[in-house]
Amino acid sequence: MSLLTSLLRMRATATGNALRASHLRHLHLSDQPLMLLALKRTGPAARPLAVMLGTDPYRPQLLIAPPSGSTTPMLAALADTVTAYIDACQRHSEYLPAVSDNKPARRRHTDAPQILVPNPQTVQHLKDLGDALRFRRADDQNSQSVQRLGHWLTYLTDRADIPGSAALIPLTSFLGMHWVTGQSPQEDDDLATLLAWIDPPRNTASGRDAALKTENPATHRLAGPATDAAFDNDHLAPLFDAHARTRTQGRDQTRTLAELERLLAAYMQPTWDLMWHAYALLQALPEATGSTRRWDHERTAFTDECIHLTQDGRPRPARDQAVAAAVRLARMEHAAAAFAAERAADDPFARAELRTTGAAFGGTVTVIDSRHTLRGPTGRPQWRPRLIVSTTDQLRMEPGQPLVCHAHRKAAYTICDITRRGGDTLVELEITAGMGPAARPNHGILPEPGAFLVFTIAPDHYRMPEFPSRDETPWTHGGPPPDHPDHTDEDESDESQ
Amino acid sequence: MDHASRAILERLPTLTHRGLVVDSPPGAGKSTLAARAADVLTQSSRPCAVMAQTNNQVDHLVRRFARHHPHLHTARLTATDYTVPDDLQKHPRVRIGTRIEDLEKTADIIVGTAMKWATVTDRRWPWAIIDEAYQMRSDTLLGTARLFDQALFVGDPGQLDPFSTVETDRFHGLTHDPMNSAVAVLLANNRDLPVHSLPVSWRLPPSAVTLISDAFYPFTPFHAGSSETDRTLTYLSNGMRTPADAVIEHAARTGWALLELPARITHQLDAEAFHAILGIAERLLVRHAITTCEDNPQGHILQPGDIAIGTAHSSQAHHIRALLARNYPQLHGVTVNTANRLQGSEFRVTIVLHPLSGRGDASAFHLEAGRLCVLTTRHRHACIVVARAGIAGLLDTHPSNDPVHPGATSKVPDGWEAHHSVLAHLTDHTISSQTRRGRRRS
Amino acid sequence: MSSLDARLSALRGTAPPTPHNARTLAALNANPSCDRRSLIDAAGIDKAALAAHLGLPQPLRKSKLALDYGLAFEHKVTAQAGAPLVPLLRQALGLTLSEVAYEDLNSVGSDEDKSPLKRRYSRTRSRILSAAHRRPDLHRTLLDHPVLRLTVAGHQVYLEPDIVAFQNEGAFYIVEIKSFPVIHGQPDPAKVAAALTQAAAYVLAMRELLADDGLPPERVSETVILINPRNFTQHPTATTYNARQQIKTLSRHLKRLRRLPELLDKLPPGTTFDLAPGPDKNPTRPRGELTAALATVQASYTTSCRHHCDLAFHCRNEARHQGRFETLGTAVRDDLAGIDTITTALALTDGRLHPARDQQDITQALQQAQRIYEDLQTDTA
Repeated sequence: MSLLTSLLRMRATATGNALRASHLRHLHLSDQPLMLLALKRTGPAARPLAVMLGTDPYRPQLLIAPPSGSTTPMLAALADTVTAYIDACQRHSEYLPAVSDNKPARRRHTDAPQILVPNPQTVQHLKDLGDALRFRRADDQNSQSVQRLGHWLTYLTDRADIPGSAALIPLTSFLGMHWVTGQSPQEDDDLATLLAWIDPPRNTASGRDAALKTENPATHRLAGPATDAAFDNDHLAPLFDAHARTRTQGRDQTRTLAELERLLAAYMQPTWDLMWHAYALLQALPEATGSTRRWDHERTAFTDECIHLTQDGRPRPARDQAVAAAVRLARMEHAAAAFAAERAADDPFARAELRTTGAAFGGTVTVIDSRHTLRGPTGRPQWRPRLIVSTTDQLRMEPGQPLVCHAHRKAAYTICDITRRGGDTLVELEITAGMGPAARPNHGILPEPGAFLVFTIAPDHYRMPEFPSRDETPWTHGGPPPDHPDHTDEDESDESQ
Repeated sequence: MDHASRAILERLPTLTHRGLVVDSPPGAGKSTLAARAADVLTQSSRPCAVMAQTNNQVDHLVRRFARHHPHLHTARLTATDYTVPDDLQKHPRVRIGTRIEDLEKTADIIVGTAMKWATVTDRRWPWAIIDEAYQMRSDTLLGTARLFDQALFVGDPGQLDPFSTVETDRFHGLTHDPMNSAVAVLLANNRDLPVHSLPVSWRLPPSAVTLISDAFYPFTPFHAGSSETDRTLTYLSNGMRTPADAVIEHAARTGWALLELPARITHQLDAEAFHAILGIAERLLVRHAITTCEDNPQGHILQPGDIAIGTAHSSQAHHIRALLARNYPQLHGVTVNTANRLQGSEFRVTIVLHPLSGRGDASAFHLEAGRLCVLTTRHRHACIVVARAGIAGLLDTHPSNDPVHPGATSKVPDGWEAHHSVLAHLTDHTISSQTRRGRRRS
Repeated sequence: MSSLDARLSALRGTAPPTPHNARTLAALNANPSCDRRSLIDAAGIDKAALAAHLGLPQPLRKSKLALDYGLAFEHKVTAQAGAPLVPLLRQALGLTLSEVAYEDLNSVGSDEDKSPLKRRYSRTRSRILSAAHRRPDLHRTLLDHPVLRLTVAGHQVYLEPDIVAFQNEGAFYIVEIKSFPVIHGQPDPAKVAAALTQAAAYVLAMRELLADDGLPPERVSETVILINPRNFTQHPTATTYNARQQIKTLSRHLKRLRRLPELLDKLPPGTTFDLAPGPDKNPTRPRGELTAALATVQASYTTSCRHHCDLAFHCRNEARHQGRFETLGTAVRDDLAGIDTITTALALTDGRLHPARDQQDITQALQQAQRIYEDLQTDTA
């Protein structure tokens, strides 16, 4: 959060309408995402109640778990849809030539799955479901596909932990990256009120009024995975009781099941529509340059996972072992830093935010000293042009600070001196990279006098640390771990839940 | 050198365990121990790899080797984008290199940051010494453990924990949690490793030791290496009876003082508090403070370099530095930094902006015990705290529903409690900024 | 009846009091500075009924399905005289137990006719005290469904926890059965925190019980055992926690409730939250009167109130009308510390208001943020 977003939140509160926090979309959006709305049964850890999913807003598939008994047939149907969607992404691949010895030539799928869910809680639910399903014994066709579903859910929810990933996206967070509302971030977690702020229906005076209306207990629906207590008590519980009675009396259960399906379809439909509404809003935003690179990376990760599945196929362990945990954390940190840097480079709004936190400043180039040179360690002269930038921003930097600039992505700068003159601050910068050797200088690096530029703190130079292999886990971390089991020590498919 | 350190040094060459951990309270001779241990270990095998966590810490260690262990060939392994300070570059007995190949043949001791060591491959030595091990993240240890058979881990458990730029719960409860400190993970996986603690702080004055030991080191108590008569702080010139004078006089007598500004919720940037802090520093110098201690029994005139100003946020440190440069030229040379950056350094007098000053509520960041511990343990003579009134009430109404993870154990006490202890102690040392004569509050 | 009691019941009106329970006590820890909540809870006012009458969303309503599931799990754990519990406790506390005596204090009288709390409390008390006085090395006792009593603001409040008190070698442990799962060693950390705060209330109540009989209160351990379903099954697993922090904080906040008379003194005469139910039991008091009554006590709204207070939406709407930063979350509130309302902040930003001396820095920062935002609109940045 920055002072700029705080200011926008206040403005939105005052006007009653959400404000755009960016003119660019920072995550790739598929033309055919798999929309997935999941409800879980109140009580048990990961027993599904219903899933509405599909790639067509008008023809969702609704899968219902029976009130009692096995959920395997329902999960198998879910697995079929999800796996078919994922398999379709593997249909085409492209050839990538070798870059270096470390990066040999390889093939990569031209597409990757993208699943959109309403909120972060659904991601957690799918993670639990993945944990529950991927260790299941695969005795028959159904349980094999369920195990596979577990595997993919774990892959997707793991990806969702990586900043900038677009494999599994909670829509509330996605919208929150691009709009600022006049309510609290906690309230933004509710898809219905968030959308009401962003795009109120025509007949309401403001986003705030629309949001208040959606809060009406009589019509408000949670976007899952939890259901409202009122819905549980007034509708589900009586139906479950009726179902249990028909079961004990040995009567036909088709009617209660059909009624349950009707009930859940009506309960889920409004949220389903909201999800597509959110998709349409997001799709209308122009995509940022960096998101293409991140989607390339997404496709690489997806291709790697497909290879893992065919070559190894064992379920990922329940918890990361030492090396895997360290590698994962390093990837998450790297992705977070890269995502932040790319957003700053792509998006004027991101740079504006950084200017209010003191991690960037914007100003006019007043002086260009294009002749400045240094003697390098070998004694050869090095071209190090200098600039003076005049800014009114409150500067929180000191000489020696390395910087980057959106206008010249390859260049690097260091602050040499900071002087104050009246209300302005004059920052003297030296160009330290991207200017080319003295013999063949790249004059394109020099800005025009009078140009307005924003300089941001250079991201830390990042190198993926070299961790030992799993079999070489050192004694400090408990030594090499035992082989992870294919399944846990108990039958997890406790259907009595 | 105390008895405990000598015992560790004697034990080291014949240690049968793969590692040994030394918990050290502030100023207990951690670096001295690390340097001597390296000296001892190189007698049987060389080179000895020494790791610290920041370039500053590494330079500090290299300086110590060069000065106190001149018979050893010391090498400084550095990253290409870091400029080693001039004095080390010019030092005849220090070799500087960016590649291990250039250093390993001639050096007895090679010192570098753990991050740099992580890039070294295909090497293994009998021993390594890891300094500031509680500041090292366990994933960094994972990336460097291949370099040594046995290791000595030295660190201060009371300081700030390492952190990550990402937030995730997924590693909680793992014995090898990569976000945890290297020592925590080491001990969780090797429960039989011997753990020693150093019992004497040579830095902190007797006036500070009881409070700090109780508030931040309840499990490894320690005492002061100096006596009250060793450490004195006096002034050559008389005061003007301003609150700032009252504060520095009280601090000279008792080792502590709290200047209390009127209650007010301020932004992180509290200009009044910043000026109060700089005003105190100014009075210390204008009145020619003289300190005596074991190293300087004849007395030392307090210089700007002997004073540190500590804050919680970097924006606060930045603003104070800017004010200092603009309005207080006589304070040039005073260190102004955040708790994170002050870790491991020592000053004669410190002036601290209380992390909860001017806040409406306390977040986990502001309550972190390690932050307050760093800020209140940098001084040899006196620590002066500046704060807005109202912190007691803020602690009193602080909600406590922080998430709880199973198996979470820490050598560091709860932040709320540590804050409460320190504040209770400071109540007896409070001087209000509003009274003209700065009378002590009863 | 003490004068305090009389004043509190006047606030409540004709409805029977809704006593404190572990959840309302836990809410003290979550928002200790809320006077409104302290007063309404002390007066035993039914907040859920109040919220319903005011037409507010009720995020705290309990699902029957959740209750049924929790009950089924609890039955599973305490079945066969607590037999499934014994190995769990053995493992959790590292004990070598063979036999443990089990007693369900709920089964006083028949199941249908639950005996009054007072009677169950005195039974709990005598069982606990006799266990405490017996030779500690010989007896291990599991007491299911004890009823405990805790002094809250001078009142004696009965707590009816779904817990088991376990006595081993003279030490008592609170064993709480919770139906949220521990998946691969990881429970929901927020739910654990809530469970431990509730456990803290039970620890304090049991300590009070021992202390009243001259026994050392420390015999009630600060180690609390949570029994949860493991992974995706209904098999129970036990985890030990140290609840020292929660116990300390809760007792601190209970002490703060001594300020109740002060709060009552500040109320205008005639203030009441009585819903005045009519013959059909529906509230008849106009909503406006109730919101006016609520307005006489200061609330301390935060965005997390909805997780533990029925009145959260009322306080939010009130805070919105007042333009308070709390409605926008902690980040905004921290950024704008020192300014009282959103209106003031925007007026300072737009230069319609002259900043006070201590508002100059933040005003300058806000104006800079505004300038940067305007730069964005004109596309120069």
